[in-house]
Amino acid sequence: MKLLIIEHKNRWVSNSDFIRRRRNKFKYKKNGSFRADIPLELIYKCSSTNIFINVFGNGDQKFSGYIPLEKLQITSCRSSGPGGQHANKVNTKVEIRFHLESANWIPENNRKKLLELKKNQLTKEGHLIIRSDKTRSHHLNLADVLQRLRCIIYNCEDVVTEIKPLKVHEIRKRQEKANQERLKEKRFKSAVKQSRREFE
Amino acid sequence: MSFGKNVIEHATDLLRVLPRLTIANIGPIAKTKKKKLSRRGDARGSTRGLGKKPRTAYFAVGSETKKMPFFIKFPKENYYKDYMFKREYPPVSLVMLQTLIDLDRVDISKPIDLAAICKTGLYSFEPSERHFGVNLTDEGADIFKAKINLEVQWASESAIAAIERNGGVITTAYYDVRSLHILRNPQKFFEKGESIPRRLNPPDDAVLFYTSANTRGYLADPEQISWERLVLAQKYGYKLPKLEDDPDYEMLMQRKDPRQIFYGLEPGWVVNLKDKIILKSIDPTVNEYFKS
Repeated sequence: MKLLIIEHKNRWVSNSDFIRRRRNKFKYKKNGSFRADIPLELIYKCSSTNIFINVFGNGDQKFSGYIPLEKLQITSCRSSGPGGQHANKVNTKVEIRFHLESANWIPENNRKKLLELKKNQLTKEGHLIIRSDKTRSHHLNLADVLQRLRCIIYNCEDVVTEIKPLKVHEIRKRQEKANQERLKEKRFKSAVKQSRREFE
Repeated sequence: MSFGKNVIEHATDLLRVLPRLTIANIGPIAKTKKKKLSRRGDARGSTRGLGKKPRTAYFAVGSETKKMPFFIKFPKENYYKDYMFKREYPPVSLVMLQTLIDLDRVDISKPIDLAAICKTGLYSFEPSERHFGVNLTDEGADIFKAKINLEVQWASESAIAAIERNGGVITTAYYDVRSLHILRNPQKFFEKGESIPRRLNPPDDAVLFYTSANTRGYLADPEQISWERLVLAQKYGYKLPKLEDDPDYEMLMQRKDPRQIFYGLEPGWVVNLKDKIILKSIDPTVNEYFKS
């Protein structure tokens, strides 16, 4: 089998502008000094990998999807429902709790909208709580909770729906047609009513 | 005047031209000869040409008299089509792995690969039955607590997260059938006295898996793998441990070259277990081949 040569032209760059690089070197060391003719280093010309994260979100920035886990209180307890000894003893239910108003990591627009939406669901101190006991595993329930939290924050963004000009034309055509149908019906009914009148 | 020939005249004319008649020239009349049924399937009837006496009446293979044979009765199903060409990865759960570690069957101070798992004797894996290695399942992700450098052949995302959460490193690597046999029983291979072969590249349908970072493929870009580690940490809700600060950083960063089968041994070397020496080739062409 011929050796597969993978072309990697550009150094990979993060999608979001708001996630900067954090030090997380992941450099492979070969066991001994054996390196084949076409080693990985030649194919992927990268010496070190640094990924930084912008923890603090500024006012105008979009939510990048990053959640700082230190700012959340993550607790676990036993789940409800059947499951025998495992369900009775093991803490698989996950609860996340954080103070919504002082959460700087959520962009301001999203935070304001969230406060409005979840006004009735916050605790007395103003904490937002999300719980999950969807699966049998704490590992997966935690993933579920974080996914839900991300979805809530993403959905609070102001989504501007731009209607295409062709679509506008189509909508107008439809409206006109509906109006014509309505008038046709009206004329028909009116004629029926007139025909019932006595001839004067 | 008579035009055309008489029948008798025709016949006598032919006699003058044709060869002498012998038995070899003469053929039988068609209807008098019966077709000899001597080929397979010619003998019909329930006794298949063997008569009705019990000692001679044996039925054809697969026939179930007056009944549709079993192998014809059921329709073909698409789901098992080409099953003999598909690769299988017998599973090892995280629970199993944790028990192996707790019971000291596996040494976590060194990288763990397929050979280490087979050596425990508790993993059933047959390369001759289209088994291509270890499939790490995520059962036991909650209880797994070991920092290891693991090399498997298949892993689910949840299992990868469970290993990285504890500060470990996981890679997925492909081994061809010969390499699998060698890894499964290294001693048997070394006793043959053959040089260690090069590991072959993955087949076409596996290339995508082993070159993508989200499955931690051994041919993937290390930079993308760093990114995917972060993504997974965010997804599963743990802080990504800093590997450089780890005292076992050297061990965790150890990785085999794509052409290497064993840690520390190069392709082309001959291992002599009895005299405890390794023989390396001096010939440059041989070395060039094994390094390619």
